[in-house]
Amino acid sequence: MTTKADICIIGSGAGGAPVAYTLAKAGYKVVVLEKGSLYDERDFKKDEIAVSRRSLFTPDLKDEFHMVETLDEEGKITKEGGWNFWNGSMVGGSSNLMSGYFHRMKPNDFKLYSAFGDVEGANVVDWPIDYETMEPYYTKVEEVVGVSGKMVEHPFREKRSTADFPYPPTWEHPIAKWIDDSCSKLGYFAMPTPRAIIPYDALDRRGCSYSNLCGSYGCATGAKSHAKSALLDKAVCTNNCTIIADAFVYKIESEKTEATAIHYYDKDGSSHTVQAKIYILAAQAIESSRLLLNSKNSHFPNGLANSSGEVGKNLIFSAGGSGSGRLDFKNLTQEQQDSLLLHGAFVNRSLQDWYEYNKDGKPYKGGTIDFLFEHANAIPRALDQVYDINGDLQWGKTLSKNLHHAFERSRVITFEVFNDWMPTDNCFVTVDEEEKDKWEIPVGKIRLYGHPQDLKVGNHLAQKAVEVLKGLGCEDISSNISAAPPPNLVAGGCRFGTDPKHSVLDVNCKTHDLKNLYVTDASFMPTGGSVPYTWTIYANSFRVADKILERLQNNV
Amino acid sequence: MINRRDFFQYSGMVGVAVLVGVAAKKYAQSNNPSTETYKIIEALIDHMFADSDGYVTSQLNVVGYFKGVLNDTRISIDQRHYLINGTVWLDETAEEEYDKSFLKLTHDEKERLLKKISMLRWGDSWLYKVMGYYFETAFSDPIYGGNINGVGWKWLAYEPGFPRPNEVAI
Repeated sequence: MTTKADICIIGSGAGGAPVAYTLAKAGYKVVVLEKGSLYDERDFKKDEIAVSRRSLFTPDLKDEFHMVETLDEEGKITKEGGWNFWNGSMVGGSSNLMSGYFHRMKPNDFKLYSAFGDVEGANVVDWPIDYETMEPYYTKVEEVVGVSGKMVEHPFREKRSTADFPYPPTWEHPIAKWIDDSCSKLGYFAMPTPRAIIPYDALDRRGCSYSNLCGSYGCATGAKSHAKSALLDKAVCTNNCTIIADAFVYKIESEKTEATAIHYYDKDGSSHTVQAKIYILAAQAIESSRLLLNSKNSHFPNGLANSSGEVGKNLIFSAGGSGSGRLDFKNLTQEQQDSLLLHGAFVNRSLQDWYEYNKDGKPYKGGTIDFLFEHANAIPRALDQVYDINGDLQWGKTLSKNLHHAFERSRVITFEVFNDWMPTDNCFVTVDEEEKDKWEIPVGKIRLYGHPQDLKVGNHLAQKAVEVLKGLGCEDISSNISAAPPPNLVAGGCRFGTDPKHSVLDVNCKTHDLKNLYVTDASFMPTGGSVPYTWTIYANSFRVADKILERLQNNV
Repeated sequence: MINRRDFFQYSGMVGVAVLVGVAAKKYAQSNNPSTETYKIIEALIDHMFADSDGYVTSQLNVVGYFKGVLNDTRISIDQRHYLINGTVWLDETAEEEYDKSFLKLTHDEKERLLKKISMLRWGDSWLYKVMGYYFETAFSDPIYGGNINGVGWKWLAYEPGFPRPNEVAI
């Protein structure tokens, strides 16, 4: 069966949904193909077993998987399966499961090469657009998708076209004030963390219910600004947008200069075709590159839109890591203990004091620190107690005592560090012709490598966060900055740029090679900034949607 | 991503039982330790978790939940085999050390045996896995049939999130 549309979008997350929303509202017929299933708010329960322990919203690894190559110290490559790089296979994509820590990239993030120069062993380049170009779209996301927060003065506050966020901060936990005080004593500028969560009913959605289980879980009210509740539901209401769930796209067909059809398998394994004037690829960075590489044809023997050879190259993640400290009730007043036992409210504090810094006379691009409570899931919190300080398993009375202390007589505050993952020749996606998924399609093969500078910067930031935890009176403070990639913070693989020989996409995220194929997920990013990516993905997708709309209206 | 403690689970398979069926809508099954595997798991959990909080463990449907785990197709067949194999290895070690089954060991003998195997790679990894499923029993929503009347939540004053599930989703 062949479906016809004006626009066919592959992927329904933060990269695809703004295009669907914009063009459906403008009257164009849009078909969105999503590999995962369709869920609504009634399906999102706080079920730790199904969601977190059995990964209900990601594919079963025996059916769909990735192969991963890592390099040892001598440069020897080891290939293995078993890693889980899936993030949320469902309508709305992984935005359903995000925590929604939203920060804009800053002006120098758009010109990392010009501002900080070359980094040996890294492929740092400037973006072909600047912050001023993206700023109206960051604002659009605040207003249309929904971002809450409060602007305060801090050393790296970016320019804005509006004075403040359209929604005030979500309900804040008393510990936010403790962090403010700790930072103030250290001379740091704590700022309320902008959140992709609306605090009260707005935008035809319900406000946050403060369920205490937010990140990793779907939102039962629609307050979380994920792609489905914020954009796709509204696109469907125009009667111009059709979402086809459980549709795995396995090939994009093309002639020499334009894409001509896409083919997908439905839940039962039957193949279907969609033909459109314009095709949008937004399957998340790794899968978008995989699909292009698997769509090779006589015109593009090395992969669709890959005349540059750049498809899959310069894969990046968010570098950094996390750390934690425990606030023990024995050191606190009864009032402080009662405050800490409050559940549901958000910590909502960040630091960007070292977004850029100098060390040993050299300027460094730094990053962002977010503070939050330890995730409320009970099972990992309990498992965290089973080893003693020597790394030996414990049980019986000792374990019981530690469990009671962990759950009832203390609370863990954690921090996350976000800094640039240097793009390099050693971090990329290809396809593995020897390993196939349940549809008999070659799986993505990911080569992982973290540049030494990523760790250096991450550790610099972590030291600052540790000082804040010490100021709070935390015990058992630890930090873990590593080159392990966070699978939910992935970008690159289809860089945008002005030179067709060294980039896959043009400045408007259209492939250089094909006049009607765009890529609007995080693949376009040549560098990632020192913030989580989702706000920038939304903003860029709105920007590209405007360019496509302009093109359609002008019949170009 | 593979947990650092999962590395050993695919090697040295012995005594693999045949696993059939799919997860029932009611996840946990009867608490009756119907086979040697479940008898050993019950005895092990009793030893590890009943010392000071025995009232919790006795009110949880531990054996029934582990039956659910061993029939859960969202858990790989290798992982489920590993869980079963560990009970075989534990019993074999008991026979080697004390010339009797783990089920017949005294409290002190069990303690010494567990200390010993917890220092071995397979023992550390397997016991950690068993403890994980015990915590699943204790902290899963009661709809899964392990955490009866929320006794596991009450044990550590844990507040579940809302809305709670109204059916077993896996």
